[in-house]
Amino acid sequence: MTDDAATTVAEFRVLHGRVVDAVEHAVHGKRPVVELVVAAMFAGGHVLLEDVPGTGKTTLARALAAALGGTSRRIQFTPDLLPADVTGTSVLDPDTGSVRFRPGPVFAHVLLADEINRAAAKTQSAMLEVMAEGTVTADGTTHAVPDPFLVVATQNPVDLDGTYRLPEAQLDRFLLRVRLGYPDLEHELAVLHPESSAGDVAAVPTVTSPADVARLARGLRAVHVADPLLRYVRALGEATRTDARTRLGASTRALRALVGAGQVQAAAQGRHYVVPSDVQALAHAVLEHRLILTREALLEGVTAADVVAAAVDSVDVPRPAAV
Amino acid sequence: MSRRGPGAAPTAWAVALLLVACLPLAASFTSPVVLAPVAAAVVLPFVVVVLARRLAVPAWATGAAGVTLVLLVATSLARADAGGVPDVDQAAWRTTGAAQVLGPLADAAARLLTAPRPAAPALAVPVVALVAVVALAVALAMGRRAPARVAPLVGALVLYATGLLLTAGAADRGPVGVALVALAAAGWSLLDGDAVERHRQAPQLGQAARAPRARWRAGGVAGLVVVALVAAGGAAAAGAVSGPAFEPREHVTPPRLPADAVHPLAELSRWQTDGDATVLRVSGTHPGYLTWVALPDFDGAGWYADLDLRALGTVVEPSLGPGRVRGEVDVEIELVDLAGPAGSPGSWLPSVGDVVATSAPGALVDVDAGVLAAPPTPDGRLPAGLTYRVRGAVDRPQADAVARAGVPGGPEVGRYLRLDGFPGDLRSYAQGVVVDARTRLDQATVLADTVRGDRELAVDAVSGTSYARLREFLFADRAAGGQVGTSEQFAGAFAVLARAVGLPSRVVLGFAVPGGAAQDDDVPRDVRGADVRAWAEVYLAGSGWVRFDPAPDAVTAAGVDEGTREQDAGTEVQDEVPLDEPDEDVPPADPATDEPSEPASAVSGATVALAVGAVLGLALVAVLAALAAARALRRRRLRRAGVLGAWQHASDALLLREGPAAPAATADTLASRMAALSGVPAGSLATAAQAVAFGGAPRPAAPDAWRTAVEVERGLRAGAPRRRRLTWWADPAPLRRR
Repeated sequence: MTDDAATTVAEFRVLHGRVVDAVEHAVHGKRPVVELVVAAMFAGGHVLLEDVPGTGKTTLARALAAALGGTSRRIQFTPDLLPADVTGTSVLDPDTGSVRFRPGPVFAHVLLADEINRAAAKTQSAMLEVMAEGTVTADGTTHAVPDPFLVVATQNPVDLDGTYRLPEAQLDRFLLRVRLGYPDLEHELAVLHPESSAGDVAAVPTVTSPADVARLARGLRAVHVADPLLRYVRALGEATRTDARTRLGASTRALRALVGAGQVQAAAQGRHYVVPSDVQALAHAVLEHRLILTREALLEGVTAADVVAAAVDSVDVPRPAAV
Repeated sequence: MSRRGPGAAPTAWAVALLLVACLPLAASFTSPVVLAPVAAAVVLPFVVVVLARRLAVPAWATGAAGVTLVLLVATSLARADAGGVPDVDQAAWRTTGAAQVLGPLADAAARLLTAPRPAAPALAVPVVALVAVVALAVALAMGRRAPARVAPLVGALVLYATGLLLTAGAADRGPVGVALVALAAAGWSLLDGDAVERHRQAPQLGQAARAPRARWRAGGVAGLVVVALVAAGGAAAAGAVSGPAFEPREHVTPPRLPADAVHPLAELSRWQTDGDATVLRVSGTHPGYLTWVALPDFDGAGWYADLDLRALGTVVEPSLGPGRVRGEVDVEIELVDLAGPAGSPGSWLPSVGDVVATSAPGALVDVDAGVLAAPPTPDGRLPAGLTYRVRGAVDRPQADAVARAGVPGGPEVGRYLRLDGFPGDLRSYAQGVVVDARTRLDQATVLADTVRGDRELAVDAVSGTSYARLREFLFADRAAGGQVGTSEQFAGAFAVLARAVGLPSRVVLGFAVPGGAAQDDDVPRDVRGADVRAWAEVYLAGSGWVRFDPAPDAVTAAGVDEGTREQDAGTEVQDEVPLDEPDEDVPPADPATDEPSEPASAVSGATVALAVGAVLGLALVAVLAALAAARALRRRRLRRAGVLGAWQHASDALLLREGPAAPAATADTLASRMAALSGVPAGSLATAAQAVAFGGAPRPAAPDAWRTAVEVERGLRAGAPRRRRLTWWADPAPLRRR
């Protein structure tokens, strides 16, 4: 481990804690979920928040943007939303008489894509490039979005009228899918209190800058991942692929995402190396939304969570060994 | 279906092991040519299994097809080999279903088991089939996980033991066994890890960080201990076994060649009337006489031999055991007038004693009568000019032993006491003659003297040994044809009278070699027609068959060594058969026979059980000691391995306490469990171990880590159930850990 790496890890651990604390000003009782979302941001990935309305999805996204201090935009996805409404469009400048690109809302550090599954497939596809490569191409010109760039999309799994299922390719581009769920009794009572700060995004302090986030995110690539860990991750992926209940298992991109998220998770614990429990802690969030189950499995009520749990339970975890 | 094989080196090792184990099998045949099919039977199954794996054929299909193929080929070969043998005495079960198909193979196995040793190469079919099936099983088993190293050992042991059983242990006196142990030990300790296990291993730090060779060696230590224990146990067992080697052929009835009952005594007169003709020539070591044919059967009309001819070397014990003192016979015999078109009919070869080996081609033997015979020829006579050598052993009854000897009882002697329709006057006569005799030897001697009496030996006397002829010979006067006879009548009369008083007897037609017994006699002696004669033999317990020649021209009446005979050997002998009531049907068992007990039979069952128990106990102690030593070595190695060693020591303890952990249990999970069970916080130990294992950091010297691990272990052991605490130090579970 180099000194730089150690410094990065130490700095990140402090910053991670501060960001999570800041977000918790507005989102109460969801620290594990908040940690996951923050981890996704530093891992360079995007987050799909899936839950019923009123659980704080939008608040979480906005609070995160506020804590980062960067720009944030929100798109309310509707069936008539056009791709240009998302990525931007070229317009004639009457002053200069030339055509110039007017950036769309994706040009922000944090993009809140609310109810993303209500947009048509064409509009959803417009998100693919920017999510994967961080660029937008319009009229043959490629425009880079700010760094860091985090898409926090929300999706309502219950009210499915007028929605379009997200294509697998796009789902695969979300690093994590998390569910907020309802808060427990104590936190929900606190939220209900009239003087509670829950949902008050304006009260979220700005604790860092986009530049720091981008720098630390690059530094976290140096967190050590031992060869047995890579084998373990691969074995987990193989287990989902060979599971008879899946039609499509975890892709290589999914496993890379798991490793990257594991690095951030390890650094958040102050470690410069990944341990198996980091991988296990993230396996569900990273893998579940990428699996496609067979029709028979779905009829039997099997969920992707069951498949991932089976993989985690069955694959031998690497442990320290001397002989 | 896995296509993964065990790798080239383990496969070569297994093949070498099986080939060495096959050496005793091949040595049980007369020709080394058997080695070729046996080696092919070892190698080919491995080739087939490798090809099948490449073609992704399931193992069960390979196995079933391989066994079927081996059985088909072996059965076809066996059927072709047995083509000329008629189906005699075929059991009913053999005529149906699979038994009918596989019958020839079963017959081939029986022929091999009962064949002379060493056996002819043509009988090797069942052996080659067995080798092929074992090699196939080993090759298939090596593709699986657990028996990859065990299967070759088991297969080699099976083949090696089969070779020893087939030869009653004669095929290997040690070298092959030692080579097998060395080869097995070398394989277990030197070979690289088997591919199957390597492929199946879970992604785990210890395995990735260490070469598979190290793990193989770690397992090899246990393997070496096992091999050493098996070898030591085998050697100890071999040393503990006393007495003759186990001979499987004793448990099988050897095939019997058909031989018609023969009445050869008529040949006696023929040769005696042409007394100068050279019948045969004899040189070497012999007792002064040769047996042509022994006649154990008497039907009231004459003496004959219902021979039971089998191939020489067939393991069949004579129904009456040999005497305790035996002399060596090594004689070369050249047949002159005896053989050829002008010779005598019949195929008996002059010999003496119990024949062990002979150069006569295809010789057959009747072990009861001690008759050697040549294979039947088209003209029913021996081939002219036949010269052959005979080696064997002959009873040398000692005078003092004979004087004290009784006769055995039991059904075995019934054949030699049989007197169908025996006339009462002859019985009275015989019993009257021996009324004053106090010993069996006295009885025989008195009878011989009585038969000899003043009677005259004449080569032209009327032949025959029926009751009527004997009565005439013994009781009629000379004018009526009595008192004169050939040696046939003298021997026959003696043998009949001897049977009448309970002495097992037979008549032997043979040759008196001029000059008597010889030792390494280089000069061939001519045996002439006048030397052809008949004599009688009486079986005495412990002395074997004792010759009595009651003819007037006999040199000695009894064929015993007189040197040690005590003159006052008149002690009353209690027989298994009473002197005055010879009854061959129900011979009373008499524990007071003079047969001394064999030392081996004196060993009681309890002693054997105690010895076996002691050996098993010692073996158990040795195994426990070996395991404890291996565990101690492991602990020492772990202590030197820093934080990782300390962590593994603690996790070994958890394994002993609770058994294997769940696959998904991380080090942190295990540490929590350790802390819960032992009361000693183990989280820091897990963290430190993971930092080394996953952090890529150099191993720090952590004296506290080992102390923590020991405390964890103590805590876990203290709370363990009693059964686990008892086996804590010798439990092999940690040795098997991945």
